[in-house]
Amino acid sequence: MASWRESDEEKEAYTNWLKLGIGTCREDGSNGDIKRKGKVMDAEEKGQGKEAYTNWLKALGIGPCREYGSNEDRHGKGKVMNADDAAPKGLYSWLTLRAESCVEDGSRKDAERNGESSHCTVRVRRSCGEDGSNKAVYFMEESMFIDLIPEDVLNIIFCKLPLHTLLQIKSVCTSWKMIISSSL
Amino acid sequence: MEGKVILSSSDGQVFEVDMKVAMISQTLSNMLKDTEDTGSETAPIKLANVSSRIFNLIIEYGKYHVEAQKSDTSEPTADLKKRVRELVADDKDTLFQLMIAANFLHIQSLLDLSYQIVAEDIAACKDQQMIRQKYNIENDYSPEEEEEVLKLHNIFE
Repeated sequence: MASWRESDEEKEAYTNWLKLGIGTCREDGSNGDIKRKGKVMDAEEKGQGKEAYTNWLKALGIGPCREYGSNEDRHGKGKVMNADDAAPKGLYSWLTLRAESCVEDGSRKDAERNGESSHCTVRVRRSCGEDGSNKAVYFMEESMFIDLIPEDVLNIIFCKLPLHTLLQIKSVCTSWKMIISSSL
Repeated sequence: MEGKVILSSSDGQVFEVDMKVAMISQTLSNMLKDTEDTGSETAPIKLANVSSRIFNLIIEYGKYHVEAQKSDTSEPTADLKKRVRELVADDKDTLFQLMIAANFLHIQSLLDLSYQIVAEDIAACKDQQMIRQKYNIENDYSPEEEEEVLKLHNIFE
């Protein structure tokens, strides 16, 4: 995370993304733990870029896990990773949490609707499966198929399609359009 | 390479697989070569990312693959694709898990066939609405954007 969000444009995009993430947490009501702590923060209020990101992780109970106590009750048998152990693990911990919150209330689509990239969603779901804890969640949804295919694999699949079909499927959704446009 | 290799799925089921079938996986092939080189004991190789249900399908595919290599089938790929379609039985979840497993085991031929199957399924859809329904994709275009994209599509048609 050394060269964190260098340009203003990236910072803005990222801050928006953070806002969306927090919004979702509030909307779906699934992060009760966080609410109880009264630590739901607004990315805009708390600054941009790395600072906002750190605050947000804290708000989600990831950064200072030890301070707030374990998340084991929330994750059950899942392997809860602590951001203090290693930075990437903290992120994965968040991703796991995020994925759960998406799924719990059945509003999995919110994550995507609210602007998270499909790539992120892929990582989120993968992290669920990796620790072996949420495989049931991982495979229980009917709609997961295309969501879970990484963009590079989708690209390979699209390359096998005739041009006519490619032009047609551009209008399926914006992420498909982006993938197709970049490969044409 | 002759003989059998013992593999264990993520849920602990143990499989005795023909070496030829196992060798279609690049991952297993490398593991087996390493074991051979070091002369270490042949304990079951644990495949942490593959469930027994999916591993059964992989073994079936491996058998077809070995058969296809032996036989003089005019179109081995088409035949194999048909077999894979039979294995997944039009179940998207199974196909997806098979792709994940093929990716983990580095079975390129199975990966290619899986991609091809998805591509064909997409191409078989009449319109974008059908694709959205089939794969439960949300239309995140605004009406204006969608109109614009469709207009472009119609120009090419």
